[in-house]
Amino acid sequence: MNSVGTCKTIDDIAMALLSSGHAINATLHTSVSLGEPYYVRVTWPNNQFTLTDYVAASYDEYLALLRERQFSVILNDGAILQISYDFRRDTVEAHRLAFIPCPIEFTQDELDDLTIEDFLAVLGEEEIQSRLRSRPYLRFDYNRRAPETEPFSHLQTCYSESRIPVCGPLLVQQFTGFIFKNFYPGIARDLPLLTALTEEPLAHNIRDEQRSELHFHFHRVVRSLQGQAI
Amino acid sequence: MLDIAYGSVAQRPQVQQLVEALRRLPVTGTLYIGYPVLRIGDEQVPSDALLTTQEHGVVLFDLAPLRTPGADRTQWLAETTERQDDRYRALYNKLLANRELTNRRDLAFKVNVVTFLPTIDDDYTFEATDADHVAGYVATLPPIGEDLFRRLNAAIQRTRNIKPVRRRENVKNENSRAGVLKRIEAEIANLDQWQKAGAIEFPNAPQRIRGLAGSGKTIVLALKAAYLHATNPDWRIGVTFQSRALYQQFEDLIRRFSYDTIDDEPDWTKLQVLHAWGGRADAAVYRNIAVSHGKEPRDYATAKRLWGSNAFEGACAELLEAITSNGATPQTMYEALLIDEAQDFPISFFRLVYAVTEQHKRIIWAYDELQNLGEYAMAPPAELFGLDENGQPRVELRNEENSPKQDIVLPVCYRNTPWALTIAHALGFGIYRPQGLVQMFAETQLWRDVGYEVQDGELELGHHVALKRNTNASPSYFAALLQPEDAVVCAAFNRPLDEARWIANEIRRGIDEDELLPRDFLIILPNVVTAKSESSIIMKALDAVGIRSHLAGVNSSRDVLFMDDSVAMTQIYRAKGNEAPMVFVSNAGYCLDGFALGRKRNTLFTAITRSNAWVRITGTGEQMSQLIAEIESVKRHHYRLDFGYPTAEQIQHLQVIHRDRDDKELEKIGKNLDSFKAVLEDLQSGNMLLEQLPPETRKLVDALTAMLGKTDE
Repeated sequence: MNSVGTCKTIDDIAMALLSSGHAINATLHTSVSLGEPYYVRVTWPNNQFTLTDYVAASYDEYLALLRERQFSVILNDGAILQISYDFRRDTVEAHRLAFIPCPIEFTQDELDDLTIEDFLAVLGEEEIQSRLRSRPYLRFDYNRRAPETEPFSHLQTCYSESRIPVCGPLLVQQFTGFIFKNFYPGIARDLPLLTALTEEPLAHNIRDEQRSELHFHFHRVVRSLQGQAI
Repeated sequence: MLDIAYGSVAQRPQVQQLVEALRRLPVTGTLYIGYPVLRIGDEQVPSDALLTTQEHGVVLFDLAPLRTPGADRTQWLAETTERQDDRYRALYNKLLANRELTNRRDLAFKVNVVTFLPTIDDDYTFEATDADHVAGYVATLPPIGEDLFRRLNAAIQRTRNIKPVRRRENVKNENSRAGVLKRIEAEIANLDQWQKAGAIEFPNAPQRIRGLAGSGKTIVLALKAAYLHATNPDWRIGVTFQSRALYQQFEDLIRRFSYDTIDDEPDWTKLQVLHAWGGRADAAVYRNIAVSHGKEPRDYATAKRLWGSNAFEGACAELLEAITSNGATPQTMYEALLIDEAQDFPISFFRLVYAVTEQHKRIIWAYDELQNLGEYAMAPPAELFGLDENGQPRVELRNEENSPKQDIVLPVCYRNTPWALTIAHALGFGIYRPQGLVQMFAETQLWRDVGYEVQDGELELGHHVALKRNTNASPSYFAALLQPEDAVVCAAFNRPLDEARWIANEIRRGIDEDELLPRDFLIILPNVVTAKSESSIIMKALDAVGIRSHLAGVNSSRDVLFMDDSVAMTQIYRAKGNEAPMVFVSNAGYCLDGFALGRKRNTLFTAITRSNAWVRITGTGEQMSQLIAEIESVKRHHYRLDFGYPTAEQIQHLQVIHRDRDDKELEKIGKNLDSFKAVLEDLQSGNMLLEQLPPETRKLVDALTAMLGKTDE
């Protein structure tokens, strides 16, 4: 896995979702230097991480992400995907893989010529209440240099303090496969690209004490576009 | 020639005397009545009249009555002198803030102040004149240089603050496209006569401002709002529109003009920038009216369920009925209301705001006739506002001499080249469409109003006419700096990928060879349904040549359309109100034919008229041949529109057949066409014979055959 290949994979997924009509918006990704030789971040343009901390998981924070274009993909129901990797040469130093559902339910057909924010703004109070959905965000973070008190790889959800251990850093398609197979199975069937693992998953990296607790685990298996283990 | 712009003090009789006395002066300049607004002490006071001419500089008039018989002469002289001095200081200080008008620490010209009296009947201790002597007085004053005069106008009209001129520091070659743009951008400094009239003229009654895309209507409305607020700080003034993206634009413009006019932030409780419908958290015109009258406002989703694609029309009509039924008198909520993009509003909205506006009905609406992208046609005032209890139109617009105009047309298009504009009109109306016109102005005079002149024939319903853009209707810098062949280029491709690659290569070349920046480009995707898949192809093609791009106007109308290092792509709704030096209209063939052709052709018109300089129209498929042919026809006719003007009945017929259709209608048409196709295929294959058709159906086939025969003829 390297920065160039990862960038291409993210772009292929983003554009596939956009061109197949499953996304409202998507962006091509870029490599940004992190100030040291061979240390780069593959991410969406103008990434402002402070905005993507998504601490309160509030409606206003969601709107801020829309306005500031802090996304890799925006799906048709308004859910935001953020995909970002830090590489030092060919080693994954960190990643942020976020799935942020829209707190208000809507379908793309309802938008007409309105933007997402404008559509949400014109809904009446009762309408908004009836469309409110309590769907937590999921953020898979990895930091190879995480402090000892934290897992190297973890899932943050529901509460900003949560750090549910994950057995190792994820490939892009492990993340997209997880999201789409579980939450958008129709799209997963439409676009095998989302779930195919064409390279071996990264080495596990989990502390012993976390291995013995409830955590996310995956086997290191390569899967073809047809879903078969190779 | 002396332009006259009538502002808020136009009703005073002395104004007419002054105007008549100065009107025939052989000068180039403007006589502003009631403008600009001066700060005197803590008050904002509109100047009575200000004359700015290249031949005789600046003259500020103080319109005063004669001393009342019996009044103390010494005191009257002292008061008048003080009034002159106050106005002099106020104007001097206002102008001194503009560095470009100074010579070191003083103004580079003299500000002359004179009191204009009904008659001169005394020796005065101050400069005084009357109708008989004012022309002579002005003639004694020295000229100011052309460049200084230009800067003076910009300062007086506040156009220097409209848009900061982009520095374009990367430009090394003055003949590159960027070099040309730099020169064009520097030229746009002064409002012209018509924009001045639009901004300053105030008839204390309804006023309509029409103009082409790019004629400055939004700026004119913002200036007018700031001016009305400065001269009438207690008025409740609303500025409203449909595109949320205009919020920020209006607030910024009004704030800037307000600082220039009154050196202060406007009182936003009195001068409100409001969306027309609004959301939960927005103050908005419809919502405010509902709440003020104790009615529950309809939200978008509910209105859509009730009234479908006419949601806003239905909501406004319902509210109007609720607040006027049983003889109820609606509350007065506004002393003045300014409406931008008026072509997007339904009639019921106009009638609703009419009901809640003060008795003078100071409703000012601005629109571009051909930008109507929705269901609502721009009706004449009688239809917009309806009839009174005597059956007479509630609103009639009159333009009388020596009075502020009620009906203003802004004929000069600053944004588009005359060639792009002519092609846009030709395509929008279908002038050279082989199957005939798609739509047409019902008022023939409108062609003259928007800057065309008759070259041949008669501009009358049912007659042949040839029209061409009046050379005065476009700024001269287009002809001086650009070439018609380069202004509009149309290209057809076999596949969307080829089209995308061509676009990407053109942009790459524009950046590498012509010093353009990514933000100088705008790619418009007219077909909303296929826009996303098209955008992904174009995004990848741009990425392949090292250029970033983004799809704007889908997440939020508050997101920035243009970014420094990325090329913007957008659908037509977000493109409205925006402009870019080089515009690509991709998949343009979509706009050529099919149902709702009026809207599609309007979309093409709007897309082309987003361009400041260059337009590239691209697409794939058979329709592109027709599109290219229509554009070539315009060029072959040397940018003349040569056509048979339809009759009133024919215009109505066009409106019916090319009208917008809602989804249900389109679905039904689709099903009918499928069935029709299946029958034809059965007939063709021999699976069914003509003789086997039921008699009623056979008659229809015979009628169709006759129709086709006529078409061939």
